Amino acid sequence: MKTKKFMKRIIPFSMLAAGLILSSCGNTNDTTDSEEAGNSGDVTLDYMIWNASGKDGMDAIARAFEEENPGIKVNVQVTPWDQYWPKLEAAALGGSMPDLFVMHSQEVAKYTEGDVLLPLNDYIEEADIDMSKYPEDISEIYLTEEDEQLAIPRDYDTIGLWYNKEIFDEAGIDYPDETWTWDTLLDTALELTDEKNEIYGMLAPVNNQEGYYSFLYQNDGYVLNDDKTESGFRDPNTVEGMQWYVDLSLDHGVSPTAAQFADNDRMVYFQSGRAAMGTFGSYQASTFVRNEYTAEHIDVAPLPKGKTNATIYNGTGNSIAADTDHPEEALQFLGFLSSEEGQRIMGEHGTTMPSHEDARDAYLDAYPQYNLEPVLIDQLDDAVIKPYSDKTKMWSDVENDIILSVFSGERTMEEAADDMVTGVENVLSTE
Amino acid sequence: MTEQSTTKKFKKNKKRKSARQKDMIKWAWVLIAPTFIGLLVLNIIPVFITGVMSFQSVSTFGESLFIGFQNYIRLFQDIEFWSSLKNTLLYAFIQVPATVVIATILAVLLNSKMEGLSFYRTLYFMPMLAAPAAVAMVWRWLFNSQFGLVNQILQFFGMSGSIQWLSDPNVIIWSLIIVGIWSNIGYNMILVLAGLQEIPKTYYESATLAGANKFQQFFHISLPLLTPQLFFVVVTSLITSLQVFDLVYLMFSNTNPSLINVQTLAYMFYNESFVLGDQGYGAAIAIMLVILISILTFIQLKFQDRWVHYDI
Amino acid sequence: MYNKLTKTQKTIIHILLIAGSLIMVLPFVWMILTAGKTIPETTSIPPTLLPDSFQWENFTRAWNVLPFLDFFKNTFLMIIVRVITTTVFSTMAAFALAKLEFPGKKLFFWMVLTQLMIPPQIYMTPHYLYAQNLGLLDTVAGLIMPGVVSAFGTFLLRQYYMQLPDELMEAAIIDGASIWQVFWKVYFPLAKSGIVALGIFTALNSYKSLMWPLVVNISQEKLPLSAGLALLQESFLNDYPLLMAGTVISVVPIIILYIFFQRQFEEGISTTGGK
Repeated sequence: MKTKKFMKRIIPFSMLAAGLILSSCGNTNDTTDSEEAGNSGDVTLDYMIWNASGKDGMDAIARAFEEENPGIKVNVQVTPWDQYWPKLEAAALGGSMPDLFVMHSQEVAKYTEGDVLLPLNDYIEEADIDMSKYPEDISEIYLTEEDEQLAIPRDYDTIGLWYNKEIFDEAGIDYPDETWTWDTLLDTALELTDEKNEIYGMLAPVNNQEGYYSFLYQNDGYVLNDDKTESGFRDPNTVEGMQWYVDLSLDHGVSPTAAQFADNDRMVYFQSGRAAMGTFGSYQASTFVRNEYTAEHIDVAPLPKGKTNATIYNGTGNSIAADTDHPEEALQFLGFLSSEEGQRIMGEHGTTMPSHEDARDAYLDAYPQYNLEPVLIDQLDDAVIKPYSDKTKMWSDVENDIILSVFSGERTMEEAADDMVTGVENVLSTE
Repeated sequence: MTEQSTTKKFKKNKKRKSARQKDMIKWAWVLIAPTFIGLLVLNIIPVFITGVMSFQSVSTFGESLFIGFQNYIRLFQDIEFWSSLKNTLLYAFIQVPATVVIATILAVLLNSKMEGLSFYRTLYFMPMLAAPAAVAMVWRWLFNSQFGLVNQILQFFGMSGSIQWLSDPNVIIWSLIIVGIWSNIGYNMILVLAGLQEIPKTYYESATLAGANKFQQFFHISLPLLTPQLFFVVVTSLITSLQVFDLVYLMFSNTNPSLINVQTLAYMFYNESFVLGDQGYGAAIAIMLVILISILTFIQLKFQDRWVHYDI
Repeated sequence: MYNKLTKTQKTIIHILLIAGSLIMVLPFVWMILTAGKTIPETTSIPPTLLPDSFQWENFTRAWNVLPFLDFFKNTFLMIIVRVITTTVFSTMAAFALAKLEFPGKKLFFWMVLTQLMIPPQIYMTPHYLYAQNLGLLDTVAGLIMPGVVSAFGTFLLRQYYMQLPDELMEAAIIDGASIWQVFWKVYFPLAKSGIVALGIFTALNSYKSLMWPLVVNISQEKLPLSAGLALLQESFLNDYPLLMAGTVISVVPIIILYIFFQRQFEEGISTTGGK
């Protein structure tokens, strides 16, 4: 082995390595320096969110708050959804949580258990925050059995029927509106499906919140009973609603199948103009305006009516870490985030729909090209909160596994219902 | 030399030796210390922790509870476990032999006395250099049923161009196997080639004199002499292939209706432990994986004398 | 096979090898071609083979949406530290196992051997707990942690030292050398090619590992390349030009390294795989 020659080659690389190691050490020093710089009395709050497209809005709130409260700085950090929860969990265990962060119904139970979140009841009373301004269902998600409020509602979203105006115009068909029923949806989807050009009338993917959940409730079905002990798939209405949704792809062929969605996500179809309609959460508005095609060619209508009107809705909340070093300042910022003023800034930036009643028009005005008012405001009367319990993630996983066998056509929902009930209730029984 | 002096000298010698021995022991312990401590802390203790966890219901913020064999009972009743086991075995038992056979053929071809062969070697080795994440992303794209190159090529040759590589329950595991073979050929080829090059040329020279053709030479000289190398390749490849995770994780999403037909034990372990957060159940899966690998490795060691020739 | 080949035989071999290499290389070609397309080009039916005009901006887009520089830096740090510690520690332990007699040798060798068979998944959760308790979650140190010692490396280098004659040691001792000197001056230089092989093997393995980085590190700036690519795919599921540009960025440096160190790479692999 020609070691010398080898060493000659390896030396530049090791120099590079040494340089990197040194420079990375240097970097860490820099950041601590800059954090400690500024007025010695300054307090910096970290606020963690998961929605990258919402950073502008959050930054704007932070700046407005800083202006009103000299001496407090707010640093908004974005961590994408898939990594947000592992990170928050690790931080909670390691005692290094950000001071404030966004909470979600699927995860809050875990944090209730560990006393990781700061109870807000005293502050709400003290600062005289009117909780009736926020949707009650959403406040309730963050209310423990001991009546501790662990988050103040931040935003909410509903599901809408988004459609491609171009495809409707070409076929000379009227756009969807609030008069639509399941039959109108199916008939129109059949008419608009063009197998030769691979254009689908509707998108019915394997997606609960933005997909089949709303249809289950429209059919008078449900996902969990009120006690969160039983699965809704005991009810024939739930089973029927599910089957109707699955049949959009399997029987009627108006939607790509679950197998096709495995290759190409629903967004591919919608953004390449190959789907006439699809149900998407209202929060997708910020995604749609960023895509050249959907910025121009689409609009949104309320969901169609089945046996009844229903849409899933959900909302996040802002929480404070129980072990924050600056509880007073954090509460102050939380108050601002939840105030009409703060919520209005969030709305104006089109981040998400403010939960505060008086600030909602700001969000609607931020998307003049989409007719969001009927979807977000009118539908609220019939909205059902996204089903959750302490172990949402685990029974959702069971549900997903079983529902996949229905979407693949292996068995009908009726045949799979028993497995679903057993699987989901097994998880529920361990709560 | 008198007897007395011999004894004396012997004693002295022994004394000196034991001083040397003490020195040796001291040095030996110093030399093994980092690895010993490292293995103890990073490998041995974790095995026991995982073993204990597999009998627990592990809670993130609360207390972990001992629940006896419940995780294992649940595992044996879980259809997901049985299909993961089946997929893992199917993947390993097809990917490994196929890769070894192809790699051996390539190695034999590359071992010919010809110009320009190192160029091929570079090409065959390239998949080895890409991170599995990159490999999986490229193949997910190649296998795309609508826009993928694979179906385009099939169509070009007049075959069905609408195979759902990534979602047809009967096809999906084969897609994984194909990618597994593709990415492991280069590695195995280099190993077999190294083995081939160690075979003395004289063996072939005398065989040619005796009138043996290339095929006879391969089956009667190369292959038997390669068996120790092949044995090593098969044992280690099998251990690695039983742990396949990255390709599954990156090629198939959890809304894939056929995930159950392709997910492996290592994938299930990751999903349960770190996505769903059920670390006790995940620990039970990891223990099953260890048992599976141990059994299969033991069987191979046991039966190696049936086909491996260490002599000559 | 070492006897002369006829011209036809040579042609057949070339044809076989070319056909094979097409299959090996095609995915890379398609990767580069896709990286140069626009999204509509990738999702038109039938798909276009060549990009209309090569979209270099996909590379800048990929480079900007995720901190690739950090990915490279973390991968590099992980590799460098692991290569140094595993080679140094393994060669020390391997020398002791091969050439020295000491109580506990059997136990230690057994410890090393059993670890060769055990899948890393079994350590994963405990390693996560370690990292959590030591405050190493989401740090480069946490990323490096599980790979600082190597049972495989110890075993490999032990085999290496076993092949070297014992007489070297005896002779050196008679000359008055200490055990450390025997190791450092006599045996260590003789095992250099084995050590280089282990280094390359460790580097490749670290570069490719995915599950542990996914588990331990969360912030984008703390991820190595493998997990960074996984993140790219999660975030831009349908934007294939962007995804392929990202993979090209990740693959090119290692291919360049390979071209520089081709012989060491291959020797490294064949040494670690054989004997």
